[in-house]
This record gives sequence, C-alpha cells and structure tokens, in this order.
Amino acid sequence: MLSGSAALAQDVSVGKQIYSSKAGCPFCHGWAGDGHGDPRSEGGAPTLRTSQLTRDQVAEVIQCGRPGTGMPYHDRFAYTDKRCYGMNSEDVGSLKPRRGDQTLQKDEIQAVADYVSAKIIGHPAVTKEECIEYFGSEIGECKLIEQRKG
Amino acid sequence: MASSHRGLRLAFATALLSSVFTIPAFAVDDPAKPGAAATPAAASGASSEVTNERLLNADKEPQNWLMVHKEYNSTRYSPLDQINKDNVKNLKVAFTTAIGGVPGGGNNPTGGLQATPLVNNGFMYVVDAWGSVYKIDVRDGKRGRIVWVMDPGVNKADVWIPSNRGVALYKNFVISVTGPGKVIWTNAETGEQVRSVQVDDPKNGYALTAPPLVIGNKLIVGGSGGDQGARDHVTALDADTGAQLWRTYSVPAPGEPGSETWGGDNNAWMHGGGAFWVTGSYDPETKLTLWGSGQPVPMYDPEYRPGDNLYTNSTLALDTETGKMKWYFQYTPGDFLDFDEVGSKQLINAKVDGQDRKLLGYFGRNGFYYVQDRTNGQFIKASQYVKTLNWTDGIDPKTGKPVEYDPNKKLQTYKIGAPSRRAQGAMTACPHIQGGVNMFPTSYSPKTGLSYGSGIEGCIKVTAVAERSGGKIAWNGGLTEDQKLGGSLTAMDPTTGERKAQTLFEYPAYSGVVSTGGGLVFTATLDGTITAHDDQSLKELWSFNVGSGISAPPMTYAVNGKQYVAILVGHSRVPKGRLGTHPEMQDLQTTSMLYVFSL
Ligand code: HEC
Repeated sequence: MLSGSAALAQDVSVGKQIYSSKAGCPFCHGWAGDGHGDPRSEGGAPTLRTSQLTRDQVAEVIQCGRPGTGMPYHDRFAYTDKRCYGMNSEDVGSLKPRRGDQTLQKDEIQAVADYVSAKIIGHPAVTKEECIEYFGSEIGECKLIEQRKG
Repeated sequence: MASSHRGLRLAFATALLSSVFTIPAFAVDDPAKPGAAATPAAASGASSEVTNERLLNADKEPQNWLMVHKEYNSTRYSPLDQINKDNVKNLKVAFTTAIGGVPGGGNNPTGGLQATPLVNNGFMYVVDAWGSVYKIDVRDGKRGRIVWVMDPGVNKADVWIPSNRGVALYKNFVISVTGPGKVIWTNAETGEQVRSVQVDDPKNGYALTAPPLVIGNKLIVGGSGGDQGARDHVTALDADTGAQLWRTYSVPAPGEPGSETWGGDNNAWMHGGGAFWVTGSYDPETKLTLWGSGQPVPMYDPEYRPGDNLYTNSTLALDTETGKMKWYFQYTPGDFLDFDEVGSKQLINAKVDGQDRKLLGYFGRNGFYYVQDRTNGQFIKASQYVKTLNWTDGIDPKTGKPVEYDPNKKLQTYKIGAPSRRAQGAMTACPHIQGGVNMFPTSYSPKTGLSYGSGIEGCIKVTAVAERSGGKIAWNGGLTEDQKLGGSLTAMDPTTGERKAQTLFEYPAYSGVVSTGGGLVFTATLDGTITAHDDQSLKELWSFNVGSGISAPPMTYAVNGKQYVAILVGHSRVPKGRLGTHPEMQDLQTTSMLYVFSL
C-alpha cells in the first residue's frame, strides 16, 4: 500500500522526528514501538509491531486515544466536540483518556501515523540495523539487541 | 573528555586572574572580590579541599552542604536559623540560574532534575539528568554564575532513566556518576575530567543514578537499573585510584545464603533487581554503612520469582572495610507492588522507653515509618504515616513483618493480592507504587526530635501480565491511575512511633525535606510550589510557585553569614505522570533551573 517514493520517505522522517521527540511515544511504547518504554509509564503500552491497525486507524488512535485505556489523545480539541468516535466529553465520561504531554496538529498526527505504519507495524523483530538507523549510530542500546538475539 | 573544553577555557581565565591575588591551591576564589569568600571556613584559613575530617565533622560547617544527605547520618538537618518561623514570610528569590539538560533522548521525552545541590565555601555543585556537572559561584548572593560545566558526553538514548541525584566531594575532586554506569572524577577547580571508571556493564541492566558515599579513602557506590533487570550491588572503589575493593550483591547467587528465596525456573536471581539508587548512611561508631535495596524484578509478577526474594526491599548494614553484611531487614518480602525501600536511612540517637538507643528511622515506601536498632537491625516499631493504606492490616509489633506475611508461602498475598497475581487481574493498591515517601530525602530535627517525610498520597491500579515481558524481564505488568493523587508532609516521633502532625497537599510531593534550626521544614510539590512549614505543627508559613514541576529536594546553606534556601526546578516524564489525574496541570512545562531564596 505504501510506496517507497522519495516524497514518502521524507514524510516518514518527519513522522519519526515527531514520534521520537515531541509526541513522546517512546516513553510508553519504546523507541522501537515494541512495548518496552519506561516500566513506570501509564497503561502498560503494548507492542505496535504486531498491530493489525490500518494507517487511518493508527491516525485515529493517536488523535483520540483509546477510551478507558492508558493510550492518550493528542488532538487538543478531542472530546470538545464529536470528532472522536462520535463522542464528546459527556459521552465518554470517566473513560475519557488522558491527554498526551504535547498535543499535535492534524498534519503532525498524519505524519506519525505514516511513520508507525511504514516502519513499525508489520515488522515483528527489532533489528540492530534498525536501531542504528533510528539513532544514527551504534549506541549502547543497539549493542543490547545483538545480545538478546545471541 | 572532549566535553571539558568550555570548562577548561573558563577555568583558564579564572586561573589567570586568580594568580593576581595569590589564591592558595584548591581554593578557587572570585578573582574580582578576594574578600568575598570569607566564609567561616575560608576565614579560618581552611582550604576548600574536602578531607575525611571535614566529612566526619560536616555538622560543624552549617554554612556548607558537603555530601548528598548533608551528614553521614542522613538527617538533612541544618542548624542555620537566620530564616525562622517569624521572618520566613519575607523569603524571596535571590537569584536563579539556568541549568542545561531539558531536551530528551531515547525513550525519555525530556530531562529533569533530582539532585541536591552541594555547597562548599560559596561554590555550588549540581548535576543534570544526563550527568553534566555544573560548578556555580553563589558567593555574592545576587547571582549564580556557572564557573564550569563538565559534560561527560553520554548518549542520551543510553541513559535509561533521566535521574541523577547529586555529586560527591572528595579532596579536590567532584565525583559524579552517569546513567550508563561510570563514576567520574572531575577537578573541582578546573572542571577537567581526571579519571573515570566503568563500575559494571550496562548490558546487564546496570545503571548509576545516586552519588557515591565517600568514607575514608573509599567511594561506596550503589547500583541502579533494577527496573531493567540489573542484579544490583554496593561496590567500594578506592577513592584515589578507582580500583574495586569489594562488592556485595543484594541478590545472592545459587548456593549463597538467601538464594533459596528465589524460586521458579527463570533464573530470576540473574536479573533480580534490588537496586541501591539512593545514597546510604554511615555510622562512624560501628563502621557500618546502611543502604536500602529496591524491589525484586519483574516488579509486578511474583510468580516469575516465587519466594521472599532476599535481599530486596531491605536495609543492608555493610562493614565498610569488607562489604560483609552485618545485618539485614526485609520490609516487604515477595513484593508485587514495587515497594523499593531505598529511601534515606536516618541515624538518630534518642531515648526509647527511658533507654538511650542508637536508632534507624525510616519512611518506608510501603507507607510505614520504621524504627530499628541500627547496630543490629532489631525491629522496634512501625506505624502508618500515609493517610490511605490498604495492602496490609498492619505491621506485626514483634517481627516487623506485615501481619499477613507467611514465611511458609512461596507467594505472599498480603491483604489485597491473590495467590496468582497473573490470574487476579487489576488490583487497587494504596499507597501508590511510587509511595508514600519514595527516594525523596527525609529529615530528622534534633531540635524537635521529629522525623519528617513528604510524598505521594493516593492509590493505583496494578496488573500482572506475564506475556508483557516479551524477552525483557523488567515489566510483566502495567499500571493505571484512576484516582486523584495528592501529597503530604508528615512528622513522626521515632521514640513512640506516633504521627505528630501531617499537612496534606493538593498535588504529590516528589521532592524531599530539609529541617532547620530556624524551626522550619521545607518541601515542594509537583505543581512547582515550594513551601516552608512550622516544624511542630507543619502549618504552612510561606510558599512560592515556580510554574514548573519540582522533583528535587530543597537544601539550605550560608555565605558571608547570610542564609539561603536552594532547590532545582524541572521535572522529567515520570513525575509529570503523577499529575495525570489533575487535568488542569496537563500543560505544565518542564525547565531546568536553580532557584535560590533569601530574606
Ligand atoms: C502514556 C503512555 C502512552 C503514550 C505516551 C502513547 N501510548 Fe499508544 N498506547 C498506550 C496504551 C496503554 C495502549 C493500549 C490501549 C489498549 O489497551 O487498547 C496504546 C495503544 C496504541 C495503539 C493501538 C495499538 C493497537 O494495535 O491497538 C497505537 C497505534 C498507539 N498506541 C500509538 C501511539 C503513538 C504513535 C504514540 C505517540 C504519539 C503513543 N501511542 C503514545 C500508551 C501510550
């Protein structure tokens, strides 16, 4: 579904930047999206690598969070109207998820969804090569991946 | 190493100017104001070199704060009394200084500050989340000028938790640690890194977050990284060469005493946790150093590691010469609530039932304040200090163990657990798995005879999910906060175990406490409010809000006869999470600042 065009690769790098820094997804899901973020993060975030979600469903989860779970919403105006699952604050009630530490604009949410769909979902194994690509060099964390394999 | 260029350049300039005034070696004095450094120690001709003599007599230098818990007894009591109950209402900002380290890396969206500033004759030493050390000239009381920065050049993605709780001073060295497990010696005068030692391998989860304790010619180093599966230890290094002198593990290897408390077939001991991530105490009379160990790993899943899991969640008394364990006391055996018992171990001399006793006073993360005989670990008393506690019906007054504890059981349930936590699903526990009093340093005032602790009030929902481990060993579960978290400051009487006073806060206190000769107790809450309280009633006498989260403890010092109160401001993501039940705080931003107050 996703082509490897140069334009898209660019989009994915923007999404990666937002995923890894501004949005703070790795705190819960881990830099690799394998569910190994901080053990004290809220909600016990799952691995995204084996997720069955489509790109648009990923975008929706990022925008709206998941009611009744630790997955936060990132659209500052989620639940102020019915844009999220057709529910406002009153409808969602006590199941309203927390808000992300930083909120994202529409295009940012789309960029993160592109990144997650292209680079994380459907890639069950975390590889050392991927780690080096993510961090730009073979940092200690990447050496650990080889350890775990061996 | 490449990191100290900036420090070198600054120091070079300082050295050039200093020579004009023939400043003695090691006493880095302000070139512009030679007289300004006339703190009592400097005036009496003492050098700024931190000798063992000075550390042993740290109480005789009320103007300074020479080690993380101020004195070996970890009581964080300052006799300074210029700021007192009457005039504290006039306390105001004297100056602020920006510290670096806000941007995050790896899994951590931002840095955050947890260090207690040290002060040695008008110079302050602090460290940021990533291990960068800052020397700050605080002598004129009008500004805090950074003299040098020693950035160890750690890759942030290799720092598993952006926490660094302070530095140590030894001779003319500032001794700091890095997340990936190095101890670094820095020339206090120039900021040049002179030596570094890799204490253990981060591949095994090992990390460092607490400053070493300097005892004689040794650095006692407590390992962190329990939550990511380190098998942790206290290690003594030669303070001059860095050579390893002894190492004592909190988790015994098969065949060693205590190994029978690690059941199952997961080789759980190899990654059993038991981290020592808060600096311990030292009793010069018994030559014992007292350290608290963290929780067993995986933290929510006892079925992975059936048994009491010695020596996690314990106080360990180690012989300073050999590292041999003289005694231990385990607070919550077979834990499933992340009750690390790492917090400050107060050494208190007081009368109990008419008898002079050498006490250990301790605010447990499990919600109880414990009093023990510090010479042999004997349990004396425990009483609840948090407002809400549900995991046990109390502590057995004879054994000191939770009343539900059954030594014949492989899996403890206490009051709220099921024999299979995996099958039980979500369970609500109070206090929160982060306390109560967590690593937030506590205080004991000999003036009032009271112990002070501040921490979190509230509950949390915990699940144990074995599948979550996915090849890593630290997780096996998740947590959800669905009730508002608050905070409290509590005064306990170590001689009776009585809760003498308590003040509740709207937001969690994630900072620590200092008590003073002025009859005050200072603490701070996560919304950025610093407060001063009456040391008897705990009534709030002063407050100031800095508009950013505080996760570091307050301290007090004096220069040129004037008293100051200092605190680092700026939270990382973990403490920020504790504000998640307060939607009005969701846009609170972090920073990285030193705040200093004076009259
Ligand atoms: C505070 C922790 C936290 C943060 C931050 C967080 N997540 Fe999540 N996320 C979770 C939890 C918990 C779940 C599981 C929800 C459930 O139980 O259905 C989840 C679920 C998801 C899912 C659904 C997976 C599936 O297959 O159902 C996606 C996609 C996702 N997160 C992406 C992200 C992205 C992208 C970010 C950053 C913008 C992010 N998350 C930030 C905690 C977090």
